[in-house]
Amino acid sequence: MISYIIRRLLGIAVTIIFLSLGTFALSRTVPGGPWMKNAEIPMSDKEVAAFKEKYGLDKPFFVQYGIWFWNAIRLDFGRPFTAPELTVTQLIFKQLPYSITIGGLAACLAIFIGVILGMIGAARSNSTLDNVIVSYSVVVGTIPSFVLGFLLAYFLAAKLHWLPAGGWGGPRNWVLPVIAYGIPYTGGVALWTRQCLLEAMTSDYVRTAYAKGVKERMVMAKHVLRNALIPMITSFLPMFPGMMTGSIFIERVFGLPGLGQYFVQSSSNRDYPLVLGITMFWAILIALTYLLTDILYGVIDPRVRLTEKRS
Amino acid sequence: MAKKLTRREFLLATGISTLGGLLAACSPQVVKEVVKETQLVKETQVVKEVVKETQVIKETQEVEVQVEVTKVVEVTAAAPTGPVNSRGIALPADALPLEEQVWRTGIGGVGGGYGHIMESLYNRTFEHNGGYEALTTLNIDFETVGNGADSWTISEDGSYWDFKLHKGLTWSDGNPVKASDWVFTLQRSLANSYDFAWFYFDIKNASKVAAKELTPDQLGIEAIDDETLRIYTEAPTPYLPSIGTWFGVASPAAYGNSLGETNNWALDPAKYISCGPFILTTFERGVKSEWSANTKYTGNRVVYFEKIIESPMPGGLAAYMAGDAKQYALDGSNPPAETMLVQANPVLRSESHPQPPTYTDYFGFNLVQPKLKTVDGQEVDNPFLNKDVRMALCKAVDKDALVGQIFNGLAYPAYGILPNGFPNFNPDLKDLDVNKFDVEAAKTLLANAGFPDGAGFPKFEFYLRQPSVFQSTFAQAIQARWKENLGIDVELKPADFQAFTQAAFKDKTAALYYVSYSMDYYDPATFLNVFRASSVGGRHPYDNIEWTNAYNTANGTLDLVKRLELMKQSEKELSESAAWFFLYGPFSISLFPCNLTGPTTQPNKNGYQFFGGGGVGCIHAWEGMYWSNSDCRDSLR
Repeated sequence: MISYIIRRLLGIAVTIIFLSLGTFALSRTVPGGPWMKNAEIPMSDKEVAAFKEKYGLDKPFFVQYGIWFWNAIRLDFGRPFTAPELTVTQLIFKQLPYSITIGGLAACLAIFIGVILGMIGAARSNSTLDNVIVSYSVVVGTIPSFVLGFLLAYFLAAKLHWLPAGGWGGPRNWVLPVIAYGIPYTGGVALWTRQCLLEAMTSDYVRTAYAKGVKERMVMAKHVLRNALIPMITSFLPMFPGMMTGSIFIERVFGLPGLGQYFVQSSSNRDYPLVLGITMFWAILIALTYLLTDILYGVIDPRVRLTEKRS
Repeated sequence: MAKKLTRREFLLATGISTLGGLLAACSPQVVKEVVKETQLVKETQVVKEVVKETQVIKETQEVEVQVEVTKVVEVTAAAPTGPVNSRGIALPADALPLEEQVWRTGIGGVGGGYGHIMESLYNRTFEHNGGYEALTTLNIDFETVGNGADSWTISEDGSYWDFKLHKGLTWSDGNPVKASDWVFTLQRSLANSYDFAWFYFDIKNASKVAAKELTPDQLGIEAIDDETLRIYTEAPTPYLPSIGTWFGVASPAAYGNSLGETNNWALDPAKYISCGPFILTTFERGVKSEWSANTKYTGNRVVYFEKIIESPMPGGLAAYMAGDAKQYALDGSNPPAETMLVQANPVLRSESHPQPPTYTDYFGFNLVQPKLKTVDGQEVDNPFLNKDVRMALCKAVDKDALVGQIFNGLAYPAYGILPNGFPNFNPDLKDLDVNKFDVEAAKTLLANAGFPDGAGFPKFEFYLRQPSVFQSTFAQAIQARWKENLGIDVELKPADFQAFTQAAFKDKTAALYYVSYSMDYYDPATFLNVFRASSVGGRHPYDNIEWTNAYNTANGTLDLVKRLELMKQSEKELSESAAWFFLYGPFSISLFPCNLTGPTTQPNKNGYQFFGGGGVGCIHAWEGMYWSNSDCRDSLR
């Protein structure tokens, strides 16, 4: 297992290097530059030259990349052009707790509600209740979170005054964004859970278990849920880094700090250090999540461990 | 042992106390305090004749003396006042307590940017000027009035301006604000790749200092003495005081008196040095900035608020209705449901205030490239160099009808670059041939240019700059009109700000472009300056040197009446050139709570209740407004 993890980590490192090179090249290829952000009158060539010199952008491409890479392996991703008092790493880790709070809670909510609905749907397959759950899942999955956000804010904040419409305060402020962010995901989670459970429930080993006289509760817990968990984990675990790194829509609608806006703004601002830093952070997070998923996969499914040993 | 009070004694004591209290309340309050008093020593009037116009400039010599006086402040029941804030300003009687005099606002795109406005404009600074004074500001009638400077005069030949700085203005570290501080601020900005440098290119040598061709000390700005700032201009610049609304002073001490790199002092509460009504006390990037009252403020702004808190604000009308957002703007891009909701609600309706249009959308043609690339990448002769082609494309667009259909009344059709109601706005431009929708005439013009019914006309990309919903809709309508009326195909190319600017204004390769321009200051020059020839720093792909020379003469004319007349002519020629086609000037409905009151929220001379969010170009740092104890919003709850 350890050698497997080491091999995977090496693979991740190589992927990250290529990704950084690609992102570095693309960010420099896109028209414009940090000197042209929102400028109604573009800078003259001489002014641009002065700007580039100031920020070290006048050096040849591979020299710039080499400097960046050398610093990056020491976890120094430079300073954002738009936030010069912080390093990229500091900026990411200052914003991350806000995104993790809202995104993490929303992911938990989505999985909690979605799994329950999926289990009910699978248990009552093809019943009216199942049809209602499937219809709910399809409808809710098509509602953008910001539309739901505005509706929630209108009814629960503006009309009923039950909850604040946003802002970063206490847990009361988190309720609406978490619901608006999490609910649209419940549909997908419910449908996937239902499908995984139904597949497991119609498997030969379940039929055999019933034939051997194993009680239904035991069959569901030991055979159906355990086998259904495998595809569910591979699908649900990567939801967390996706949701926990923030959503610009949720942040804008509810007035929340977070990383989501930086994903978008760093690109439109041509804030090269931040673009690189956030891309690397995101890539590493996703890669590590998939590694964790694979490890968990092995924990849940003994056959994966056997394959590993044989190889 | 204490003596027990009898009922009679208790009633007597209570009566005496009450009577005493009443008498005390009605009698004058005698307050002894040391005040700084300005004694008017000499006042003269100088009559200066400039061509045909007579300007009366009042020169006042003031001597500042410290005197100890006994002030008798009579407090009567008829004119009660509210609490006195930490700057010593008494709030009106209906004001809420000081702890509630807090203005909460959005934090801006990048949460504070580089901090000070003279560090960076486009990587947004804080969205108000609470921590510094600008050279000038606007009053609610949009007139340029003093802020960091009290008065200003132009030299007889128009080559420089002298600004008399506001007396007694001090930094929060106790040092006086001197003319040399203003000199330092501008020199440092221009020498350090300031992204708004072009705005100051009317100042002598500014463009060369920004390009590092000259050293900062060669910039045309100098301190004549501690209280007089002189600014030299490349040519006579009658509107220079208007430009001063953006010129905010920074303390050289905060920079360690170095013209070099920034040390981010303006993002650090421990290092912040303010001469404005607020001082930075908390800064968390993208999360929260807090500005507390600068108790050492000696400027001329009357600011009631005790604190400004900037943090991400929830969006949408619902957040405003819930009281979680303190301002909201409706414009053509809002869902119609929001407009209906506002109209149906008496409180929201009363809180809706139409704002004057401040920008104009237009499309333009590339007139610098002899060859242009089509959507297929083929190089073809530039057809827009033929004025008949441009006229045909302009006359084929029924902008009056489109504006009515797309904006629901929240825009005026534009016939020139100056928005409706802006100084020197010329309604007669509507009658220009280029502005008359006439499909038959357009077809004839196109046929005369060699493209009957659009036959053989190349297909170009039509660049749109980061289009809003209504800009996309309008561009699609134009595309459809050209196709239907002239048989000309174009491909819309929405591009982000930077990609657009690179193609349209930097490389000047875009064949057609659709863009807007917004006012920076309240003078026609704010719009017309950017239409100067591309070879002399204008932004558009059109090297209209002849027009530029005539315009520069008009713009630099010191006789203000004559200047505006000449500029009117320049704007007319701009429209007639059909190098651009001006489409519409949108405006917004600003909503702010009815319990936010004060002199600056009142209607101005044109009836506008202006609320620009405290940004530059309007009343700064929310001066002249406070939270009142009115119950006018209760029905919203």
